[in-house]
Amino acid sequence: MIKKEHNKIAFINARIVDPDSGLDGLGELIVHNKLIKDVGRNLLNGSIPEDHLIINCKNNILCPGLIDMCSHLREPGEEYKENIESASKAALSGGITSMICMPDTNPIIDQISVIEFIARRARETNGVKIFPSASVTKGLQGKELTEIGLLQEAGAILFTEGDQALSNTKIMKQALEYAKTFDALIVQHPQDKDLSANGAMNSGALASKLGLPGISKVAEIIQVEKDLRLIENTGGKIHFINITTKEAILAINKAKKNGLNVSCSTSPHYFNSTEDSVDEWKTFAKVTPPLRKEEDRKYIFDALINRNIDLITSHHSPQDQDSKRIPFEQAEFGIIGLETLLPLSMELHFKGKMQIIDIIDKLSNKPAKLLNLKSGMLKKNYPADILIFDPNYSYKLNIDKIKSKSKNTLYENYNMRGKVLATIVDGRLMYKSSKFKIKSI
Amino acid sequence: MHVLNKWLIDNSITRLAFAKKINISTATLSRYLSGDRIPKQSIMKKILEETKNEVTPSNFYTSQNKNIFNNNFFKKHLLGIEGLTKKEISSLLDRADSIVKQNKNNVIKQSYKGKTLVNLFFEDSTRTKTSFELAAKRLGMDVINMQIETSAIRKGESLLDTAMTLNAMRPDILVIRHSLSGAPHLLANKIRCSVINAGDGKHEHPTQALLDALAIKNRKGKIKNLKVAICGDIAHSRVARSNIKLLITMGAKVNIIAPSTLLPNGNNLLGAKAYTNMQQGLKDADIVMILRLQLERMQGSYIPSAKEYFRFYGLDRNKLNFAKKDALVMHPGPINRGVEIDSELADDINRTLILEQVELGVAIRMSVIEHLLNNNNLNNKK
Repeated sequence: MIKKEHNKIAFINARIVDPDSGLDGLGELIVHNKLIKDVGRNLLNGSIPEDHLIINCKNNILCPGLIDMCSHLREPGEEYKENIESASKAALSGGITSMICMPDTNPIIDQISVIEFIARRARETNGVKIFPSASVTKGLQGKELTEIGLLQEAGAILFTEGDQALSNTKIMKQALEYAKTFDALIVQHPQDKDLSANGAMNSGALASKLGLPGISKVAEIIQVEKDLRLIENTGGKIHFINITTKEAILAINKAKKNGLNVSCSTSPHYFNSTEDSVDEWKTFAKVTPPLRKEEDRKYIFDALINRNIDLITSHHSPQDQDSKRIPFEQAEFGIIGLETLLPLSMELHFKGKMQIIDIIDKLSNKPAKLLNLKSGMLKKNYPADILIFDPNYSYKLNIDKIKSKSKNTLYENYNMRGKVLATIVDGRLMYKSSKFKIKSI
Repeated sequence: MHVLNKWLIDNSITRLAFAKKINISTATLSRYLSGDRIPKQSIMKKILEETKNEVTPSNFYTSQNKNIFNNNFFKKHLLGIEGLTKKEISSLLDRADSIVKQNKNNVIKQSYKGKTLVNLFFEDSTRTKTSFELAAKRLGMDVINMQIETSAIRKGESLLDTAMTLNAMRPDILVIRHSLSGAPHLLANKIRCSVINAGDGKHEHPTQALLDALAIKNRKGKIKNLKVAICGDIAHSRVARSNIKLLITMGAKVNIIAPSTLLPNGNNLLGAKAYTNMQQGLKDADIVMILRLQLERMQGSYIPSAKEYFRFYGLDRNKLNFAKKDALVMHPGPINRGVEIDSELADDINRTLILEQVELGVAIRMSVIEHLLNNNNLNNKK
């Protein structure tokens, strides 16, 4: 472990990957007092400074720690599914150094006291950096706006209705307009409420065969297109999470070209899995929006490579057994994603030849820039939020080793490529794999 | 195979020759071989002599000899038609057919005394539940009915909890109906006994499809190459799904007819061809299967009104003329007279199979229960 007295650390023999500067090559990185002091090649001129802790990265990748813009921590309210401490451990072992938690807790994050509660719990946990989001409307009711200005002041980093869409056009318009005053970001889970009501999986032949109510792609497309009109009209700023359809991406890109302030993201299950995972009512494959067909998966996969999707979030949604081991229609939505975010995203590299630096960009630099976080890049005087991982190490996902309280993953025994070796938050080593040996000299 | 039958084959002796030798008719010999009858002592002695003690009296007193049938269905549960082969479906149908014949002569023996069937109905049902109960009682089984108000089942945990409770009671057969698709499958994973799906959500209702198939077979003599038109709320119908799967497996052609809002997403379902027009959909149909229109869908966004539905999709004699001249009408019941079918037509026993369907339901369920109990016995012996 890095002890307290080690306020000077030198990471040597690292393959430095920094999407912001475009640096991808062997080098060193020096940390002084929580901050990055320097990064580059031959910083040490072959001499090893005596007062530094030397960490030999053995040619593994050293990059900015991941920033997860959408995860459900379930605290307060559903601590039996996950809590801030367990989520923090899971995130750190997944290479995540900052995460944004969703407001659909109990109580809902729609008031300052809940923001402060989460901030306190995060301080106590003292692990991953946690930034709370707040709901756009009071009680997630979709009727009255929350105190966007005050909540932002208290620390709310973005505003969202979580896994439900803000569907009332009038309220959405007001929210976008009002949020503009504070340059606040509205994050929308685009899925038309009327069209997706009672839906359990992607509509189509499989849903028909299984006798399950479907959610069609048009539910997503129509919500995106509607909101884009509002952005055009209000000049506000929006981010769409969990994009799964070609048409939504095309609409978003057209809006971007027209200069609208819009961005989008997706989650690893949407480019790694299809509705076939539902098989015979496998509730672990019940997610919102639903897993789609192979052609859609392929499109999302390619859209990430072609830079038509801005970033990747884990959409970590822990659910306990009682929420999943019930009939499919009754089961809750969601799969866990903190610990699989990096390896599942690395599939873009292994199967799609995407450059690793571009993948890291979507997992760290892009979300940092969107949220104005001082993180996500290896830059002098930036906090030392760092991830070291071995991109070629492959292993089977062992469900017993998952640190999340809930084990609802689709990827049990799945062959994962890319292993987190160490996660450093503010210059402190918060996670270290047993595969990674640190010898102080 | 009966030991005597094997002996006859092994020694290349015809049934006729053997019957003559021991001075009985061939029909009597067949009954011995099928287990329907046990030889008298004098005849037993002759058999013993003729076979040089290779076939002994004990060979005629096996525990299962009362209702021996050719079992080609080896599954533990009947959760759906999906995944069943032609052979398996035929096995279930053939046994039911022979039960119908035996039933007429009242020769079914209560050979399953001490076995228990539990009816677990999370959804209202009169005919299916009664039919299962009657089937089990005719087989000499004990029947427990558990009617659970759907409203009391707040969450599905109770489903698995119920499964655990039932496990402790050690039933042999569990019949379940649930408003959610896949619930019987979930239960089947958690319970030790055999599970029969008596309807799950919009997914399957296998015994209904089997009895429909038997009704068709009885009247038309075959299923293969028949054209069956299924008309009604296809999108929400488990009966339609099971029937389509079964009929297509058995080589029939299936049309589905409904207004677009009641057709499944993607229209064509499981190999059936979709029509929104009765005239086109009924063309050349040998069988017209009318589905019940759920009351809650009779108004609102699926169809504007029952009146409009009957005008365009309700079966009356005029519309029936679009089908073949000898086309027969089926309905799983209960009937909404004047909504999906003309009242007078529904009562025409020359054109409809509606009452036959109900009658065959018991035989089909007896057949299914027998197959499953039979398989359980085999598994226990292993």
